[in-house]
Amino acid sequence: MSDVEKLKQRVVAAVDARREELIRLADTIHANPEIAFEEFESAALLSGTLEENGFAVQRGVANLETAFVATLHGQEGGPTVAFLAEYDALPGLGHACGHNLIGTAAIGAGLAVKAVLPELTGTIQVIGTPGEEGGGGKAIMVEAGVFAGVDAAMMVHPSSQNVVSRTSLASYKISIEFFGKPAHAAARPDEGINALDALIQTYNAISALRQQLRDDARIHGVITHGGDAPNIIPDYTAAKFYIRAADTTYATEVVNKVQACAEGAAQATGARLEFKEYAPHYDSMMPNPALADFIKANMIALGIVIPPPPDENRMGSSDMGNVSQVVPSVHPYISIGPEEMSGHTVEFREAAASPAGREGMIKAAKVMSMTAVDLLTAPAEINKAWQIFEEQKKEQRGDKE
Amino acid sequence: MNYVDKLKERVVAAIEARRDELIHISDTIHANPELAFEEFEAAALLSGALEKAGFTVERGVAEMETAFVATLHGQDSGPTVAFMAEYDALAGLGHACGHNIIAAAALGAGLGMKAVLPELHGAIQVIGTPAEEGGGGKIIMVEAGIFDEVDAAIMMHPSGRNLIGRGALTATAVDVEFFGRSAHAAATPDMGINALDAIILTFSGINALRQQLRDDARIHGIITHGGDAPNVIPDYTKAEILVRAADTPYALEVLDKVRRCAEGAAQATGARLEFRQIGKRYDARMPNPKLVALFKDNIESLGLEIELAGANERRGSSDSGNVSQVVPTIHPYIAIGPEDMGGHTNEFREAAVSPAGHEGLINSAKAMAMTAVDLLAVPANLNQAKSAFEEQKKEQEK
Repeated sequence: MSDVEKLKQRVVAAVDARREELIRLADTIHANPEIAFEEFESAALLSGTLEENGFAVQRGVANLETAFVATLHGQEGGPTVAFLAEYDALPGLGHACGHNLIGTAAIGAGLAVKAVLPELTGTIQVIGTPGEEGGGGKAIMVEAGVFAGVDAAMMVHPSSQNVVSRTSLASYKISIEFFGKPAHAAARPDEGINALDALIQTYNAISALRQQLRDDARIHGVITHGGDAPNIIPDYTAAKFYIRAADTTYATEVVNKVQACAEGAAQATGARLEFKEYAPHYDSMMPNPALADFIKANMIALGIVIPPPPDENRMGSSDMGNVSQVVPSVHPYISIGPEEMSGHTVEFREAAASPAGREGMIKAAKVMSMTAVDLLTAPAEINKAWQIFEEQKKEQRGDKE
Repeated sequence: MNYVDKLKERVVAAIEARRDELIHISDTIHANPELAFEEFEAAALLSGALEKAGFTVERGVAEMETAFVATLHGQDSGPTVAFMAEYDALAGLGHACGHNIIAAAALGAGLGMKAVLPELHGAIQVIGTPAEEGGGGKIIMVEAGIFDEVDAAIMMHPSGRNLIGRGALTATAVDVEFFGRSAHAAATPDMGINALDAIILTFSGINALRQQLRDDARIHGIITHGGDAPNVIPDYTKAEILVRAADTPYALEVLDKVRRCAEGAAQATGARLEFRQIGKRYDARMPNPKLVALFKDNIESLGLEIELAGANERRGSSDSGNVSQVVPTIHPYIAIGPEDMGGHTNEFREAAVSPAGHEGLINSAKAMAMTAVDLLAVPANLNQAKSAFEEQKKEQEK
């Protein structure tokens, strides 16, 4: 057995040794769901566990109260490998996206690598990233430079299927508001400026626009304020839209087209438009193939069955995309329930605290810690990951040319 | 001076004698605004004053706690003329529609008529109609038969100008709901049925429809539920739409066209539609031309000028429309403030207790009572009003 294999055996054993503790952590967070940017107890629990185990913990990074960076050094020099934790729940649905498992798996990986780190050159970090559900915590942390010293980033998301690597869509969150002029809708309609007409024309223009968009583009929204009373010409209406595409460049182009739709509606109706991003945009996920190769090998070594990859047309977005644009990243999925199970459902929430969910979390901790061993024992692999990363960036920029 | 004019002089004097009492009642109601169907103190105050003056009061009519009918008989066997009182206030705005003045004017007209009624054939009623603001109290009372024995109904409404003969549009409120199927809007949009698309298509259908409608038609609405989250294909949406027109048959035709717009949207998107009427229909108001002419002469004899409404007068809807469909009715407007004053505003609320408001109240009570004198003392007047009513009904059905 090679030295690397021996090290991996030790990190796997370290995860197994902490099995009960990790499951208790995951279940505790699951039982007390906290929504985006309010994950006070979850963040305290996770960062506290790392601190007790010798990690240097910095809390409130990037001006986010529930974000943290926990750092543990091995021998001096060498690369920094980060495990990313998420721990926010969904409003009304609890941990129906299983972030309790993501958070705990990252802690498990960190604690496992601790067992071998004194023998390795380099550093590991567990980075606590709040507000993935709509808040874009990682987007804010990337902007704040939290990932500037990181050489490779990884996280594992629970799912209904084992997946090594997949992309995600870039996503912009846009608020559209129209300001018109109220009037009695029967007696004085000619004196009004109808802000609801403006919104409906925007929606219709977007519907027509779809014919001229790439297949990967997605524009979808809801009307959050459609007027106050049916007998008054509405003077204020509001909508929220997500605009997504396979890459940030094209998504930006689509945002501009949607803005033109709204401007046209404003021009036609005379209503005043306010068009703005109401939350940080999510970049597309650029999975690093070098990292993915290690993840895949380690999954297979653990006996995890990897089916053919899922349909690339069925994608959402994640703020991990923003991380993947600044550092080589990978975001595999581990199955915790039946294949037809969807995210953000009651079924998923139950799975996140089931025996299969706990098992998935343990496996995720093992896969990540084994991959960290691969990277910290072979710095050349990190260089290779960065080379590929630069090529991917170049290719992405080429999309526009 | 002829007999009728002498009677009118006496009712005017009787109202003048009660000037302070009427203003006090108007101001008291104004100071204690009560919302639709909760006008307990206002209804008690008004019906109590009528009872004290000798009227027979029936409270809680048409199963509404704050509705009442106060009746006073003259000599036996003759027609019944009713003065309608409103007394509900607006949520958050108080008496910004001046219903305190409507109430005190109806009361004043009733008390004024008491002075001459023993010499006339017929009866006077003051009918307390709650919840004009959205509740449609008069609609409920018409359906309950409260106006069956009434021969003419008279009320006034405070305004920014003196105006008579203005109709009102019939109005029907509908809820339009669509039920689709939710799906992740990025990953699996093809599995969704978009209920918001269905609402938008309904509005677009209505917008296109307007080109083929009569000028008096009005369709306007809002979206009260436009989806839950932007990343989920909406599975439920809802709009509230009002459909109005100058007459009920045409309004029903337009309502049917609006329904077809919604059905088409349901067909196109695959969403399930629920389309249903909310509350009672407000009927079109037909101002009775004979009553208009009588009231106009009477208020002008008091030194006021009153404008006759044109054919394209700007108008909304009122539950007095439902009364006008079963009995000859007038609903003149009397100025209590500047012409540019809008209803349902703070300015209007202040005007409803101002000296101009008080003056409007007294003048209205007088002209309403004088018109009742015309109807009870000269049977030909009421007969003409009734035949004009029948003609209007026939015209409307065409």
